[in-house]
Amino acid sequence: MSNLPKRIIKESERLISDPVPGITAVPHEDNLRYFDVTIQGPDQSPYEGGVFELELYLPDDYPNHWSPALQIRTILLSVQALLAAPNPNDPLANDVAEEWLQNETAAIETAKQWTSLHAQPKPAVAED
Amino acid sequence: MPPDSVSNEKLESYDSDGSEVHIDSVEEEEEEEDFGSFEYSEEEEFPIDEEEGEELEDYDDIISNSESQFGDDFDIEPSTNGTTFTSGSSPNNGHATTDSIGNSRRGDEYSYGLTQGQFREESTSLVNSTPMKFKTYTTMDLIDKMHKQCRKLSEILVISQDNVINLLQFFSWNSERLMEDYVTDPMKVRKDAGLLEDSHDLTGVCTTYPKTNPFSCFICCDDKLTTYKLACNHEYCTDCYGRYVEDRLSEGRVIKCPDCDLTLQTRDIDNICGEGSSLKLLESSMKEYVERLRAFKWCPAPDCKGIVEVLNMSEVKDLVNEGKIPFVRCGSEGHQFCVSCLFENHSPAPCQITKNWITKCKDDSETVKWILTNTQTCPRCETSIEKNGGCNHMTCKKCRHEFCWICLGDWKLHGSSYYNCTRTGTKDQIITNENKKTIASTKESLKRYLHFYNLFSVHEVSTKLDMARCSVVQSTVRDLQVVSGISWIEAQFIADSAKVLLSGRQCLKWSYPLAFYCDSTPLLNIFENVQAELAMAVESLSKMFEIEDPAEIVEKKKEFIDDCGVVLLRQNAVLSCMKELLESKTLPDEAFILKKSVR
Repeated sequence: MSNLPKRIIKESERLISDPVPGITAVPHEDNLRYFDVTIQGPDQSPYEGGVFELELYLPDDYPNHWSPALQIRTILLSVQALLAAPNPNDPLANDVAEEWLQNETAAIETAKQWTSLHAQPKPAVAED
Repeated sequence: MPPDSVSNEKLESYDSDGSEVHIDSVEEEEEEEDFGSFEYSEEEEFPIDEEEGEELEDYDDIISNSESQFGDDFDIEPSTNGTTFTSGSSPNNGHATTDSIGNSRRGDEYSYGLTQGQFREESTSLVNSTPMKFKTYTTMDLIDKMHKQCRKLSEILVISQDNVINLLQFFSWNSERLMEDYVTDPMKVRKDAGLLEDSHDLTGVCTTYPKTNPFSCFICCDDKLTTYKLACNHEYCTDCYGRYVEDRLSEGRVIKCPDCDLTLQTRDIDNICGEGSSLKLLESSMKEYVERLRAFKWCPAPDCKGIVEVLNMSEVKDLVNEGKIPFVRCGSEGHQFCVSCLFENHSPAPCQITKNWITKCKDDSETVKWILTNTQTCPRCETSIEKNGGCNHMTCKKCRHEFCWICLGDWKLHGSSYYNCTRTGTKDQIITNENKKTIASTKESLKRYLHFYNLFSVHEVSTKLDMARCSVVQSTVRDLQVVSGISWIEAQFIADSAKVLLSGRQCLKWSYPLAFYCDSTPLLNIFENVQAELAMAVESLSKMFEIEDPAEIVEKKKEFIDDCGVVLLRQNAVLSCMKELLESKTLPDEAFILKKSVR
């Protein structure tokens, strides 16, 4: 944990003090480059009401060799935006995108089902 | 004045000046017919030469001399930035001013700078004759060429050279497109390329802050004392800015402000990363510049920065089909390489055999299988691309072609109809599996292959050893020169012998793949005998280089020369025997059908 760039510290602080609506990002205590992230499914999307858990790891060259425009905040915002408006024309998972394009109504229905099945907010854990 | 009228006028004169009046007429036609993109850049060069009147006069003088002396078939073409070599395909090309393996330009092509007439002309004529016409360049030549192009465009477009460099980098050195677009809508082009709209060249500002009131950098979030900012006022500490720019110097593209689209100018880059940094960027963008020009080839030798312009590119395909090897020599170290395979000169093995052989050898080490299963080739430039994550929208790093990873179709056509691409797995994977079976069933052929492969690789290893040994010997002799006052010319034989040795070794090495693909015929027996003799001659010369004492080496000058003569003779014999093999069609079709994997 030697020499954590000040930028990471500042970004982490700001993520907690001034969080993005619908997003939380909490660094691990033992590794401040490792974040537990949750993103709420955007309103009016099939993911509405779901809470999605993500892991975020800042590689060693962050932020030195990254475009200064890319911040943790902006990256998380883009993920959230993709939930609101998926882009099946440029997919990561081809099979899912295929289904989405062939029958959007059915795909949205599946997304809703899976959201209620797998992305329900956990009952509040004891806070420290 | 509307920009159109200015530029059109300039364009016209540019075109008429641009015709290649100075070039041998034969080449002129060839090039104009065959190299759309290349032609343009050639045109670039000449109007500039004309403006620089002095150079032009020299040029004409030399040309007329060459013509009067050598007739149409002149061999050395003077150039302001490059040296042209033509090694006539006719063996009796008596005026061949080619450098023998890239060195002395005084002797006939077979003489290697050894005493002229040392070897009979016809005995070694095949060794260095290449059907190629080419010019050699160094990176500095190319930088000059790029600067000239910039100067020219800067006059035409009436903007600073700095701006032109930015614009060309933005347009991937497609100056034709830049001109068209700029003439049509200069404001748009400037905006797209991230230049300020009024053509004022505002350089960025370096600021020093007092310790009591430091600058808090947005990138590192630390307090810093020196900063840099462009006209957009996005200010960062020089450490972060420097790292940001440094990271991008090797990408050969315009570098923009970290936070907006404003482009850093040459001076900004030098201010931020130190003098000469912008030259690094220019050098890295040269890669793109060279790769744009089909006729320009980088020397494939490791760490070599030589560049060759192939003047008869249109003939390459035919030559390859005839079994001839279109090889050239790079200017800097005289590396010979084949412009079709972009690989070391592999004579006597023809290109198809070489490709088959290399693929086979690679396959042997599982590499090809890996490439076939894990990579695809860019549909435009055929670079192998590995997808290590991300979506299917691929942009080739080399040619910037955008395509779909699944169907390899143009990405533009995909828009919303992406759903043509449902194939899973690739054909190649299936082929590999079939081939695996074939390999297992042909143990016999594998054994045969291993025999040839061993011979091939033994000589490959020896080549490296020879190279190392040659450079040691050359430097000890150089030392001796200093001490004993032996003249450079006298000691030249050692460098020449080294070249003969390496060229002989290479010929020997590549004769094995050729033999591997031959049917067993009496002619092949002859070939193998000739091959064995070459092997003996090469080893004997190689042994000479093991002599430690430089004085002894100098004493044995005559033996070196004799051994070289034998190597050349036998190398020539191998080459002419190869010709016969190719003509007699003892090579099965298999040798010429390029397969992706072992048969």
